[in-house]
Amino acid sequence: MKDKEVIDRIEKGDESALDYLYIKLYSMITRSILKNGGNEEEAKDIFQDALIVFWQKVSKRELTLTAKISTYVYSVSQNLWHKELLRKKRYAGEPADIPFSEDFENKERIKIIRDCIDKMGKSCRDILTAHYFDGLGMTEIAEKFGLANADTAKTRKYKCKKKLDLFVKSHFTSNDFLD
Amino acid sequence: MNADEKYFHMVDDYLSHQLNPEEVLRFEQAMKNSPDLTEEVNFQKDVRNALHDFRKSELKGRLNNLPIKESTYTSGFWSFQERQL
Repeated sequence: MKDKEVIDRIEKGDESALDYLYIKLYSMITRSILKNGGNEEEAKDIFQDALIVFWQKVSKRELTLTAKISTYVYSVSQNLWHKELLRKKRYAGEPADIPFSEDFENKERIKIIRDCIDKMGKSCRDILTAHYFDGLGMTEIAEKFGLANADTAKTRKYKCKKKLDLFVKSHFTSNDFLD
Repeated sequence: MNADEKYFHMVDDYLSHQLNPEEVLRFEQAMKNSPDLTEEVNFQKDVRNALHDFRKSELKGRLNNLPIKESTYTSGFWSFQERQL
């Protein structure tokens, strides 16, 4: 597959283009991290993160590619790996994560919301993640999910979001510690 | 579009950076005057973060299920480089 075709497919939210890149670039990129002191699990994790950064930038139309996709994903993964090495160095010898309360509460809140997302209907969830994470516009959402047009997609997104919000709010009120 | 829907889209557009500078100013002034609006904006930020978390793990789960041949590990460019070393 040519780079141009990969980009076109990602812009439509086609995950098979992501699969394609993963298999194609896996050995080249994980190997470069293994050579820089990472273990296999870390190499895989960093590569996946880099690829998802690329996916998101393209689907949000935030990236004008001036080099090959492989070069771009390679340099993102190198950056992420260097950051990870710095982080490891900084925290070496220190006791692991001492949570301070504000941070802890925030994490708890996000966890409850994630639970709700997990439990909501898949068709609504897919539309919300495609819009809020992948950054697809209403025209692309309509196309990907077989909706009549951008207006239909916008209404559907609104209804799904409302449903999730109410669901989360009902969970919050039953968790007193968050008040 | 009813009032509720308009309110929703305004908060949504603010968080998606879709408002022009003038609208941002007006929106942030409105937040200062309304604790309810501020609370709603913070709530929406959390929901967005959770959607991000969720989607990211979903995509990682998808990638983890793809077949990666260990043999591809030693093929191609990098093994060529190794031979040079």
